[in-house]
Amino acid sequence: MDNIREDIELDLAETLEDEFILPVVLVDPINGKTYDKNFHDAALPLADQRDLGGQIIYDTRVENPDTGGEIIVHKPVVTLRRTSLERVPAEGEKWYVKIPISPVAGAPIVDFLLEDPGEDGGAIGFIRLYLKKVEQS
Amino acid sequence: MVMSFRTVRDSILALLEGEAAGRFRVIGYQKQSKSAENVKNDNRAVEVYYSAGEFPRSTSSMNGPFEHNCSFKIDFTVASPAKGDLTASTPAEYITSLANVSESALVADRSMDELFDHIFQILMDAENIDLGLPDAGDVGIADRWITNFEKDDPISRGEYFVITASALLTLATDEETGGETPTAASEFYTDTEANLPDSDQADDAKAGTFVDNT
Repeated sequence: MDNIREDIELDLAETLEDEFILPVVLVDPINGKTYDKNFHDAALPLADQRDLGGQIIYDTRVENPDTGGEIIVHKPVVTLRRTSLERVPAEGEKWYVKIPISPVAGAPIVDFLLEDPGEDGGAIGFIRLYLKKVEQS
Repeated sequence: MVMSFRTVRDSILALLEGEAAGRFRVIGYQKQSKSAENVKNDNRAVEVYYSAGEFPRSTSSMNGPFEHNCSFKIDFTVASPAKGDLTASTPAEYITSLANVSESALVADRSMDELFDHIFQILMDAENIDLGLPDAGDVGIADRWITNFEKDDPISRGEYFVITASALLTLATDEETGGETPTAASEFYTDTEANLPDSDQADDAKAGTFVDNT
């Protein structure tokens, strides 16, 4: 019998990294290393390695429960396949995450900060990152 | 005639707008829907609006002036990103940058404290005891006071951290009423004929003039 969890993890290559993929760059706070290549291709020559990428969702409209007012916010959410990462962000760590500002081709890359722990879909192979905009101090 | 509280409201708005100096924006009503991008950093919003009033009968005159104890709500909205050194390019620089990055929650909290500081300094300054109202004007206020300030629970909202808060400004003023505008009286026309009693009538008590309006 096939292992369903393994099948789901394999399916992530298509659901997260196929036609709707957007480039993602992660900066590790421990060693300062920049991860911009898919770790599945680590054994390949650099020129043949695929760029690291995943699913990015933007924009939402939220209601402030204190005032009842609406706040329109960009809410970039990055979902990555865990096995595509050389090192998975751990809880409590702050990473820089560089993603396109919009899903349009050629959109500029913007820096974001991973402050909150990612939503861990580790049991089925993905990690979801909720990002905060970061500006020059 | 405009009630005094409306004049006071406009004066408060003008005072805050004049003193903003690019540190915040003043909105003169409750703006329900705001974009976090538009209240970011120094575009943080201050909404001022008349929220409640009391008219104590014991200190008012039946026909005016009427004492009006006004409450003005001041709502604050701040959105902040995280702050860090984005010029880093080497691993060592990235390590330092990420170690020293200020989380958006911290930046937003400090920004809110600073915003309230600005507003308090303006509204409670002795020079602004009349909240910008002209000395020789028709409207005066007394006992202006910021009675409280309260931050709402901070909740992460998308790419920014948004914090809201509110303060209450109370003051007393007098209200007058101008009365209903009278309608133009229609012309009153009488055609009066005086009927004097006949002098030969027996009842002399019927003396007098009878007015017959036709």
